[in-house]
Amino acid sequence: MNSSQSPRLKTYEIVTIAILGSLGGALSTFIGYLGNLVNLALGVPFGAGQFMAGLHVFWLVLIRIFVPRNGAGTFGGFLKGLVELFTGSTHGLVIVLITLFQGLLIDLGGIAIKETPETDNFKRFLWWLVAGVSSASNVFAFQFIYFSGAPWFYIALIAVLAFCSGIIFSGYFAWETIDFLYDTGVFSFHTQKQPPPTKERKRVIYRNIPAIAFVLFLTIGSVYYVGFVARAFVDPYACEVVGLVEQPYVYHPGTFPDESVTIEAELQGAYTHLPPANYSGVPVSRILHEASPLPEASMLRVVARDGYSARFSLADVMTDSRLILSVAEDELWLIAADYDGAYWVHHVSIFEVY
Amino acid sequence: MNKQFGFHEGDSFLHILNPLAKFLSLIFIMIGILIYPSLTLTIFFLLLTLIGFRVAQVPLELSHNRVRFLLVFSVLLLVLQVMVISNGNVIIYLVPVLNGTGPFFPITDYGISVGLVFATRFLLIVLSSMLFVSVTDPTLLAHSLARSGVPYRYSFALIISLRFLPLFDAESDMVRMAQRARGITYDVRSIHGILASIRYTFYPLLVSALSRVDTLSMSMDGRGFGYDTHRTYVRFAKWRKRDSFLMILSLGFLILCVLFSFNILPFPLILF
Repeated sequence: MNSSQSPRLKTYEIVTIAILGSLGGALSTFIGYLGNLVNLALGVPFGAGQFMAGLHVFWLVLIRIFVPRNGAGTFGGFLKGLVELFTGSTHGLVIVLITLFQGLLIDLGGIAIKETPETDNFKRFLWWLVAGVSSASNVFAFQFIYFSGAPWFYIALIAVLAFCSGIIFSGYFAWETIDFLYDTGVFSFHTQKQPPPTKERKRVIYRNIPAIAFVLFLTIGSVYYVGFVARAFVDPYACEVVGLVEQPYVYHPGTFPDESVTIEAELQGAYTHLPPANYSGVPVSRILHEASPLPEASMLRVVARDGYSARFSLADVMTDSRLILSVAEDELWLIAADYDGAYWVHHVSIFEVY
Repeated sequence: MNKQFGFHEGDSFLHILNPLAKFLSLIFIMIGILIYPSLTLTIFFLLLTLIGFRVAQVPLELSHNRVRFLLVFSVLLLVLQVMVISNGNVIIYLVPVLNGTGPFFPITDYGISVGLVFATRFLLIVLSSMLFVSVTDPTLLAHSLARSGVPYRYSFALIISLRFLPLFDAESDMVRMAQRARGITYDVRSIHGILASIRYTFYPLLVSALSRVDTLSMSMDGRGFGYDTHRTYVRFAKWRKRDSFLMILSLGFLILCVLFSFNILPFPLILF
């Protein structure tokens, strides 16, 4: 479609956004229900339905391509979100914020790429990536709002699933649809472009092979990256010492190889207890000593990755040889031998001195 | 549009509030609950929402599929949190010590409290949104947006979007019947069937919808749409004192949540 340089949207552009937003909102509500049914069928609260996430962004891509104006994607996202809200989305008001954000990402992509549908394949490829990112963004938004402490591996995996869905549905499929719509001449009144020539069957197959190969590569590559490479960047065995200390630093097991001790401890919980067992690790006092707590510090807060925290008197900690940081399976575990079971903190990530 | 959860006409207190005041209050409360995740506050607003359904005389039938789904989903959220959080006082181990191995899957008080926060938050967000939709006329919301300073050309897009929904519904049925009359049937249980469904139903619907762009925009232009920066309305929602009061309350709540969240103000009933 042609677009004037005027910052004000023309009436046909507003109507285009409204109609695509309406259709998209109504169908997205339906798709959302399908996705939730898939989740329920598999017994997970979210994730499995993300294979359809790209279908939500599909409409925003269409809007941004047919109305190539800055802000069209965001406006379309807001409108689509409102329609979803009013047609009974299971996410309520949150869906407005999420589609608004997805539209914003599409707009940012559009500004960076300066795309029109008939530009070269590289730009089209970039558009697919933008659509994938926009599609995956919902995973992190939902994680922030509804979940806490869900395994990062699971989050990353479904983000990859949503990203691939975005590539397929709001990238590849969206462009197929755009080509089809130009073929039909549905935008005859405002379109200056000539519809692309009818493609031969052989050419369609030839064109699809790179897309399929790309998606396969991306899926396998992402799963490999998340499973084997990214693990190194999210170290479950790192503990940051922060707060009122002279030298904040990150502790890793093996930093003090000669100072590991073995103690016998019994977890005495409010409701359960674990029988006495031997635990090995470095005393917390040794780890804190390395950071040199400031004289005014009086307390230590041990924070876990899931947000849980336990508070200790710093003076007690510095003289306690039975308070150790032990290495367990995929975590650092605080063994507080002389404390109640609630002080045995799993997945320790931060020592905050205050 | 979903009849069960669309706009229900009425004259209750919630119906007569200004749509924009309701919309902004909903956003403020949601943001407040998100930045300060207190179980006490969430349950308080959840109860308030349920009372709101009663006051507005909007049925919230537990037997209805959607409500049942929401409850199941919130239980799943609770279970997920309980399963993944191992910190806190262990109440019970799902898998006890067996032949020297284990125990595994501790259920902790902290896991349960976090799970409850997230499950009730989910219910609050969705149910309050449903209540808002039930007591708010979307056309009046668009008009309120325009009167609040949003250019009416843009707020009118919301009206177009909502007005077209029943039309798309009817059109979708028409396309399906037309294809069936041509002898085209498809089985959506296979990939091939889904692709055929897209080709024969979705594409015609999309083309049909977009083919209205030109006629509708020309018709609007012909009637002088956008000619003037101001527009008058036959139906509009007035901003009254009660709307200002609602805004002050919800904005005050948001500010309090920010203060609680940054520990500037202590709140004795906080969960964490």
